[in-house]
Amino acid sequence: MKYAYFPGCVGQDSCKELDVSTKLISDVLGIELVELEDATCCGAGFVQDVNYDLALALNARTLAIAEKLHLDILTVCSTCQFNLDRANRELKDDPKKLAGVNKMLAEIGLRYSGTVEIKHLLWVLVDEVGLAELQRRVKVDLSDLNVASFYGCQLIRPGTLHGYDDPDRPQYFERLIEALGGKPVDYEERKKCCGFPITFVNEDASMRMNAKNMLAAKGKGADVMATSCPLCHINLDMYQGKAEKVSGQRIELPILHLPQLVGLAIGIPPERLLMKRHIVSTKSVARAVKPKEEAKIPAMGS
Amino acid sequence: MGAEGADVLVAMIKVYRFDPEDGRGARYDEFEVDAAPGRTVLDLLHDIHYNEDPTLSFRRSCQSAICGSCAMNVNGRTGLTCSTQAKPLLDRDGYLVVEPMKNMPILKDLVVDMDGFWESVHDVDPFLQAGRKVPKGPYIVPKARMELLKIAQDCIMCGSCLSECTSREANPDYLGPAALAKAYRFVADERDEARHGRLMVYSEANGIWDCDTCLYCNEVCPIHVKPMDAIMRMREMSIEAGIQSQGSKHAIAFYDTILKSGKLNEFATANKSLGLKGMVAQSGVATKIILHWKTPEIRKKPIEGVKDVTKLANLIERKKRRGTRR
Repeated sequence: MKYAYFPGCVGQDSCKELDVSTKLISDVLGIELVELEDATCCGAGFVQDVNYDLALALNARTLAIAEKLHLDILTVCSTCQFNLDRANRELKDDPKKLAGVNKMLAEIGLRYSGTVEIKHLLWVLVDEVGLAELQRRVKVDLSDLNVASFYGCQLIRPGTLHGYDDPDRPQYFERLIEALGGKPVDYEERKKCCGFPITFVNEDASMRMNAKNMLAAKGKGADVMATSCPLCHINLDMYQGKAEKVSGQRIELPILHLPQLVGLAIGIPPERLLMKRHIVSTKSVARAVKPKEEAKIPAMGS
Repeated sequence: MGAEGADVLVAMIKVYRFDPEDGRGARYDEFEVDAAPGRTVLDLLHDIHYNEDPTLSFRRSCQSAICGSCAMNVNGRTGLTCSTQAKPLLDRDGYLVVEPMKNMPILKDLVVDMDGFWESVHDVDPFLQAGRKVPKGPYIVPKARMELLKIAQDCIMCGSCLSECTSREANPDYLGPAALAKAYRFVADERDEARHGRLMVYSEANGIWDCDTCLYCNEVCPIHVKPMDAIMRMREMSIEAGIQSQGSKHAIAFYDTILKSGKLNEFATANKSLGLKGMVAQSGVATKIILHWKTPEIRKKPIEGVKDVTKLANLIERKKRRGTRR
């Protein structure tokens, strides 16, 4: 398993812990990452708002760089996944558009022929590392943890773009949580919007969404939430205090990045996963992680 | 029950019931139905209405997925019941539940009050403003220009997108996907002379910048209209037209940092987007960020290929000036 790794801007800045924990678990799980250090931002929808054609060209440039390496791209962000994937699909489906973009790429010494696939870490963990292998790697007992997943809109919709999860019944996260020994929380809001894209435009509406999602998860017994998108993480974690104010309810829900949850399960200490960087304390999560009793280790291949 | 014989597939269906006049409050009634392959959810509702409980209320008309009357929430997803088959859902979920659309008040059983939906549509002024350009003969629009309307013009006003709109759920004043798709239909029509004024109005609070890009509207539209794409295009058009709003300010702040370094500068974006007053309002969050060492880098080191970004931006600028649009 070797991927061109697209860390995303936020994943290496305010959510640095996402990048660090991705690299740590990839090392243990045998996912070789070749970092796309020279890639630009995916546009996150905002560059697309200002200049769609430039966003398409920049993403084509990233795809061309990965193609040169003969590697598929691995993302760790629902938004990066969507924007790169959408650009890729647009270019693959429309030879005229691809030719037009290639004319521009030629000016910077690049060319894209349309061979690259883009995959989110969640899909790679479940489909390629495999649930049995993950289960085998689990070093601690997470059976006391009710884990609520939070997908981020753009990882599941539109279903026709991604083709992994059923957008009405996403299951990749739940299957992963189960393999790691935690208890997945079944709640509808895991598919909803975190509100982040409008936090700077209509903070109240964004916080109402944010609070509703987290309170729904808590209502179903969640001890912790894990997300596959750092932008969701910003709203869920950094803005949780504001969500509490808007809803008038205490939430106090620790929010992990997907690779932090995996890291904890495979025995990487919380300090190394930079869990101290979170705004909402993650101490309760660390406390709920128990040493694994030998008798509980499932037989290999079972 | 519907068809008889070997093809009958007996299943239970749960149907949302509410009658404001019976004082019983909301509940679910269960019915035994024939969910044989090929039968739609609307077929099952008809069976119930005609054979078991004539008081069950729902809207429907053409049964051909064109009138847009029969949108309801089936197993958690809004869509046209006349084009939603029961058996695949039963196979996937093991149950069938029919509920009224969301984000609209319930009048009775599966019938919702769509006044709010229509008010939003009216708010975007959904009529062609021909101005003084009305020609004496037919107005021939080039095919390429009409192609631009493709993502919005097929809307049948069923309300499915509004039912699933996460932004409307949090903010009932938000115009919502169907109204904004309709708005785009006129903005992108070269015969319409009110384009600039329209974009100004749609850029105000509760308009195009309040979409949270959750993609639900594109996902559930039964006839593949793409309201979110229409909204995104209007954002770009409004910025090209120099119309200022909080949303455009944020997008431009974000965009500028990409031009400068190839990557997002979170600090500069927040700073520029919010301004001094906005930053003060965020001081609580900012303090927490600093205390947890989460402060984003103030100066972002440009990527090595930042010159490529400039070059591509210039090429596109030149192309746009030549008047070729995607």
